[in-house]
Amino acid sequence: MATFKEGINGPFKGKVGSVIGSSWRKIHYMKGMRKVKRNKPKPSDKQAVQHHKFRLLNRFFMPIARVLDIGFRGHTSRATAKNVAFGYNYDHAFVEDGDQIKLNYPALKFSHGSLYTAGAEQASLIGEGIKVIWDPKTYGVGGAMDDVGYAIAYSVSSDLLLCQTALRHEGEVVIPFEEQIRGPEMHVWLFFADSRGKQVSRTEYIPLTDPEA
Amino acid sequence: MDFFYDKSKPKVKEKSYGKLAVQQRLRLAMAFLNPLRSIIAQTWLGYGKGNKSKAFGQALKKLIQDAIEGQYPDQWIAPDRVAISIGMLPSVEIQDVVLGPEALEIYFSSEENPLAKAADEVVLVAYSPDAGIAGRNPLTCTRKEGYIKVDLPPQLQATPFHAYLFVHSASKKQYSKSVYVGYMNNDGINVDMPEEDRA
Repeated sequence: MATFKEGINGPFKGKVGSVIGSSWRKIHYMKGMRKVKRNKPKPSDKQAVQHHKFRLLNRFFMPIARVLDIGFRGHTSRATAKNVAFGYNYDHAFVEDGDQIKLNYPALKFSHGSLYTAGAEQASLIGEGIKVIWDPKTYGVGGAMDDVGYAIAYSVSSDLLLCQTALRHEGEVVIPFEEQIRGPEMHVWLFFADSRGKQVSRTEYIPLTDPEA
Repeated sequence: MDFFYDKSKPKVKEKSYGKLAVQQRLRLAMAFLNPLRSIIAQTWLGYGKGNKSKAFGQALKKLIQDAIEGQYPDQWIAPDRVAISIGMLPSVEIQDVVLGPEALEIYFSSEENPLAKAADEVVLVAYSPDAGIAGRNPLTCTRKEGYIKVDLPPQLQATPFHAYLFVHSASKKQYSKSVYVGYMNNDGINVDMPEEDRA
């Protein structure tokens, strides 16, 4: 789609004849009137697979758009953080299980940056939720005590995604996930952002461990 | 090393060999030095005329000039030729290296030199470009102490890493050129990095 910066009379908004002037994230553009296709053809098998993949990933990222805003802030100039996250994850986000396509949860990333991850991350189920612990030290490079850790937990059966934050020096956080809504399959991720929210770390996937073990 | 782009994706426009080679060099250098930005901002500050990003640019330039080997598309970084610090201050001589499960210890000595002062501080950096993680000594160690220890971050306890040593004056205005201690992996300490572990 063509875009224009400043026309002879400047950008316009609204309907002019058969075109509509509009803007999104400071990009001025024109679009045609909506065409209603009465006999829309059915998607081919390959198209259906692509549609399914788009739906899966978009739906997964939708509830945590605010967390993605932090995780991909450095890469959003003319795109939303959700779109950047979508593009970054798309190539490795799926696994084929027979005929089914599922999300590859351990490979999903919610951030990208050079801030240091904590190391020694562990996640375990406790009564009131999921306890995530990490190494609170900074080792003099690449991280600060007041970095904010974003712990994200997802229950596949209840399709619920929760995020809880804590400072790096605290070394732990509890994500409130009640037992009734947990389900058998849970996934946990952790990333850090500096106190100004400008630098972020990579996302670490943390396998759940049994607290009794 | 961590790249934001996908290397397996074909490029839309065909670029010249020279352009691709230069781009790969810059990408490798950037990925290697970026996790060490906070250290380089101090150690190269004099060469950046007080500007942190200029200092990083100078370190990047030096790495591309000195430490990249091979021909495109098989270029790699020779970590022993990377200078994470630069300056005129005399460095120290490494006497012994002890690699433990959670710490790296180094015994060193220093030759008599008019520029070398007993109060100069020694810094030891353990760094893994693949993990994007580094650690430095938490306690101040001086030239006359002859011993330095760095606690390894949990990520480096399981993966191989490089170690660098450098010296700076007490005022942090003068720095030495960094010394490459070696490549630490499960087999122990090697000065040369194995071919399969190259970045």
